[in-house]
Amino acid sequence: MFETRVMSPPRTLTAISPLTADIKAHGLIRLSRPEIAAFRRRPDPLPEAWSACRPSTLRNADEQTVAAVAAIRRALENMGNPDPSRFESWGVVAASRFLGRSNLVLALDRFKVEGPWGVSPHLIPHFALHAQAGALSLILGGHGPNLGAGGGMFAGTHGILTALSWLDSGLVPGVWLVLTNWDPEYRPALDGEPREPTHCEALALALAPGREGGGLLRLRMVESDEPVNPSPATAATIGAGLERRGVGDEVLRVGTDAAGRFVVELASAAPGLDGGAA
Amino acid sequence: MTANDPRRPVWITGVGFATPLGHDMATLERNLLEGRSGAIAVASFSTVDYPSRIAAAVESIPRPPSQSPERFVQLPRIEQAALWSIESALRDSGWWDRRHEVRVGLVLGLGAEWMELWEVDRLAGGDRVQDPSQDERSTLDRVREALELSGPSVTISAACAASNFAFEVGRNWIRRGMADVCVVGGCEMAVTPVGLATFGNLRALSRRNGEPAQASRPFDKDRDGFVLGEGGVFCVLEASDVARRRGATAHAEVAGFGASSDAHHHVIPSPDPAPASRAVRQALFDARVEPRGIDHINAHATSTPVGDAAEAAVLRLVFGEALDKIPTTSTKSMTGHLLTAAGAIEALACITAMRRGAIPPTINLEQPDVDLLVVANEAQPRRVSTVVSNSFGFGGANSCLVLRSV
Repeated sequence: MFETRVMSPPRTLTAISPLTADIKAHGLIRLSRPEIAAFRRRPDPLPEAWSACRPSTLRNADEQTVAAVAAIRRALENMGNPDPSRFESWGVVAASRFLGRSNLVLALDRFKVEGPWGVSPHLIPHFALHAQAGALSLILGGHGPNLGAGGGMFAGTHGILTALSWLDSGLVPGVWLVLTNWDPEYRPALDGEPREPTHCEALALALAPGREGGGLLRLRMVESDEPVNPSPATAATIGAGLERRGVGDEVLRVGTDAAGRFVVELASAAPGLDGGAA
Repeated sequence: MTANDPRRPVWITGVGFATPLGHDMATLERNLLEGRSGAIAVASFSTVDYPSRIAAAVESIPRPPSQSPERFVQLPRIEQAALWSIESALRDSGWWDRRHEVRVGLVLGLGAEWMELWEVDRLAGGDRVQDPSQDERSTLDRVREALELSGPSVTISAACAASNFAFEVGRNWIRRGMADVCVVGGCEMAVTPVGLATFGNLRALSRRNGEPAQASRPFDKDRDGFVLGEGGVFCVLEASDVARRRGATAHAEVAGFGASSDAHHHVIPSPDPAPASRAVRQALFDARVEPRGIDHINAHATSTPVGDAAEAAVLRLVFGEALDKIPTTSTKSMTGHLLTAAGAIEALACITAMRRGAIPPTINLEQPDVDLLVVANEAQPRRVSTVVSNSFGFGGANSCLVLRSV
């Protein structure tokens, strides 16, 4: 399915150490469309201390964005509802997959009938790649940067690469990384409804620089010596890895980039695995 | 200096682009310095019922030498623009023929990829938007493979701030040795029937339909929205020590970057200048330059009533009295708003100012309503060494890039 032309790795000018981050907390969600609709109407999408946004903030948001908020809520609960001020400068990286597909079916067909008057002004603000990160930044209320990543099949890998790059450069002290996708992939009928049952998966990860210690698990991106079979990193693949936490020194491969060159791994944060301190 | 050095200087050694003001540096520089507008009446589709019927469109995209005419003509316009621009940038840098010897990374700013692909297909009678199996490979994947690039690659978007973020991600990959060379920039071909309609219905676009060249007027009292633009703009980044060793020509150093979020509204900039000023201050700090050390500011200023005034307040908060001596311009008055590619074309405008010793003007500025030293209507001769380039976007994204002459 993910067949791609794999090129031989070139002779490199430099050797690299992996990009890493400690996973401080996570929230994994799998929601049906009715469950997403119910969450969208909540007056308090996040715990009380975090709810600075208006209830209408999610009204026009894509369903993946709503699920992303639910995943962040779960992560915050798993952290014991920490004080928002701790996260004021954290960045937000949101890696959605095919945002807005169901809405675009309706929007494009309506355009064919009604012309420009029938086109919603919400398309760019809510269904372009930046939209999920922007909405999450608005809801979280912090002032660190926000960025959308991926957008396609390998969105999760793009999000991880971007988040780890930010942490590595010191741009931000921490990152909320959110990965969302439909499982199975959303195939809309002409009315925008899915042609078969599907659920939205969302994973929120609270990531801090990989050498500070304190995390049980570490997310890292390594460059493979030889290209491997490409497989997307998703909420489900990483979530399954997180369920296997405490497996000692085992390193779990949870996805790659589209070329099979860069590999996403979950590893114990114990000393020695990549030279970092626990 | 080591391969994993967080302070390793990173240079721009190549540029490539397809824009409303030209597809090569000599043409772009001439148009920018002569104050020419790229805005025209949209002719590629009927705009009879549109609130805004003008755009800075790219009429035809050149074919890069590596691509066959038969294949190139069948590609989506986004992909055409990306292929031409990225290959041109690599050729300009001198890396094209050696790209198989090194890891060439790619950071692609692209915000409405799927919307644009689905729209073109749907309006031609296709069912791609209903069939995910047609979407397994992204524009990034196809471009990377077509050009045979082997480094890390990622698609990102902070809406209209995307390109500046691409510079930062690429710079970090170079500094820590993840890529030996990195192509960064943005690409957006949003002048489509639905694209023009959705921005128009958002009331973001100028409705000065009778005079397209006068429609984009940043900082002018009579501004009424931006002119939708399109194009692809990319730069090649590499470490300064590598560039020096191979005798490469440097266009500029990527000296600083800062970013923040407003957390205020999906599309409206915050009336509080503090969050955006944080991005500018962070970029100055990163570049180790004081506000009075800045020679020129290329503002984000898109020509919207709210946005331009908000940015002026941000600049005043950061630069204080020093702002009175810093020539500021908005080249969107000529290029239109290239959305995710805006930061990249504005980096080229900054490079133009450095190379040519003249700052491109803000055209159509008849009645300034901001307290800035705006370069009005004609290019201003000036020695320029260190430049600030702002890019702000929907979702409250703020970014600032500092470029320095080499």
